[in-house]
Amino acid sequence: MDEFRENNRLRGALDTTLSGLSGDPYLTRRILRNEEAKLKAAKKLSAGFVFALVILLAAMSVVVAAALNLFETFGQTERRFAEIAPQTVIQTESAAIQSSKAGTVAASITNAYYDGESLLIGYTIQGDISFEPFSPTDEQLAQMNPTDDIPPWLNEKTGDSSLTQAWEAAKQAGTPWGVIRYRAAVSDHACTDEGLDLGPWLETEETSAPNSLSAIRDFDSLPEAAQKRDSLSIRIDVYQSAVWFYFDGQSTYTTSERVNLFPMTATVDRIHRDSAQFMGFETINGSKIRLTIQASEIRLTASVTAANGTLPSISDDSWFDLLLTDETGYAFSPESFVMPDEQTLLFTFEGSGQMPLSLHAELLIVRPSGETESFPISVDING
Amino acid sequence: MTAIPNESPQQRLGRLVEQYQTDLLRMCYIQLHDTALAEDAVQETFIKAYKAMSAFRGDCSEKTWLMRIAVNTCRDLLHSAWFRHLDRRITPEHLPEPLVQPDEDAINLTFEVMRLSQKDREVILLYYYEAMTTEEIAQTLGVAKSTVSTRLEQGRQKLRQALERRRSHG
Repeated sequence: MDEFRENNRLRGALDTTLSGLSGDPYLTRRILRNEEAKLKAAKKLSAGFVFALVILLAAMSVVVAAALNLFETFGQTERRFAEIAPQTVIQTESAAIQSSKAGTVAASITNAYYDGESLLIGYTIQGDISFEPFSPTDEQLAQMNPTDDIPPWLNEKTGDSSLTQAWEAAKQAGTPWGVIRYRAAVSDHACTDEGLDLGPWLETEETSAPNSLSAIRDFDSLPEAAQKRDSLSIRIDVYQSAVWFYFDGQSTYTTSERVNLFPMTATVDRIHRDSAQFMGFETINGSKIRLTIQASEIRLTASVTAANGTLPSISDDSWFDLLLTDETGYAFSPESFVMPDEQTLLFTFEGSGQMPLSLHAELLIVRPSGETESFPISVDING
Repeated sequence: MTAIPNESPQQRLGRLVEQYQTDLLRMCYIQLHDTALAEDAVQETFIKAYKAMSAFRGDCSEKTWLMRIAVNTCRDLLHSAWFRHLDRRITPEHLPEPLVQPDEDAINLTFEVMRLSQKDREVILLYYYEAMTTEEIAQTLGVAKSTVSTRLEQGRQKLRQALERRRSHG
């Protein structure tokens, strides 16, 4: 038992320090009430609230001079981004700027890496939040939902100071007051130009610049139809959500809506990078297993299969794990593990940004107690 | 625990709220450093759970399922544009007034958990605070068990080092 679990130390510390935080006895009722109200109002909403944006969309196709290479920026803290940064210049870029009553939003894909199997996209978005005074018509007010919840951006501890002061003053004086908050964001879905969804990703973000966001999206295994193309055209929509908040002097009301603004697009040429296959065999607890590793700079995929039909027998509460290190001793970070059938274990690891020249592998059998049995497997390049 | 036979979705929501609300609130507070935001995140978690109740097939425990929703809700808030402009530094004055007076060790440990990176913090909270197994945490976070073990060890090391630094600086 470790020191943080001993005598329930960590749980005890948090429970005592945060003992002032306790639940809301009316939470269930509030949720059920709000959900019923939303169902009733849902159909009225889009007709009642026309999103009055004056759109000036300027789309520019430019050859990227890579003035800003996000992979270099993020590479300061993550080695593999730095390693592939020189290969992330995209062929064409469509930077989009949208001006509206809600301010100017600019967003673009600045860099991308595509090697036929792996895809990483760097993008930036600027001017993502703005506010506007709001005074509803009777018809609009009738379509808003009563609420007791004050949005966090009006909370005096967390919100914008001038806004929270205005809200607090209106509340104290009992005078009507309203605001619309616009927030632009990048869609979770990235697609090819023909609409193929490129699937799930992990994102690394940089948020130090005010009112802007830079990020690198590292996609999981691409769908087969998006693999091994000469180039990949990418589209990610930018949308804007609006939250209306109104105080009539006595009660508070809210509603929200979301609209698409514009797409960010880019075409990225396939990098012809090296890949290598490593293979090894080992007999563990009487079972012969084969380890095959497909390695690139970006990702390693390791498959452990039972050469004679069954994987080594382990107790029900134990599990397999795999450690991989390269010739420098760099330990690859695990990404995912699946067991597609009873004879196969599939592990993926983040690459280091460099092609490994040799690999050291250890299959682990881990017990709930943390006790681990290790079986080194000798692997050779190309089997 | 799984769904109780003949329990309506509303009854089930009530039971889940009663059972997990306080735990979730404290977990979300540790993630978000703010009481109002943590309350929002907890409410959002239960709204999502309520909406998805019929689709929950029971292939993990209710607790794992709820924690997964809560973790994702906190992540969404942490990544949202407005959150990035908040001052998220935490000092003793920012902590909610406790009902039970914590000792200095408890406060220090709480602060150091809050200062961990998001990924390490999630794993540490689920393992030590929610007493989940590494397998349940892997299911909750959608990562491999080995990733959980790695982050757990990293988090432990960082906590040890941070507490040690505090001790050595008096």
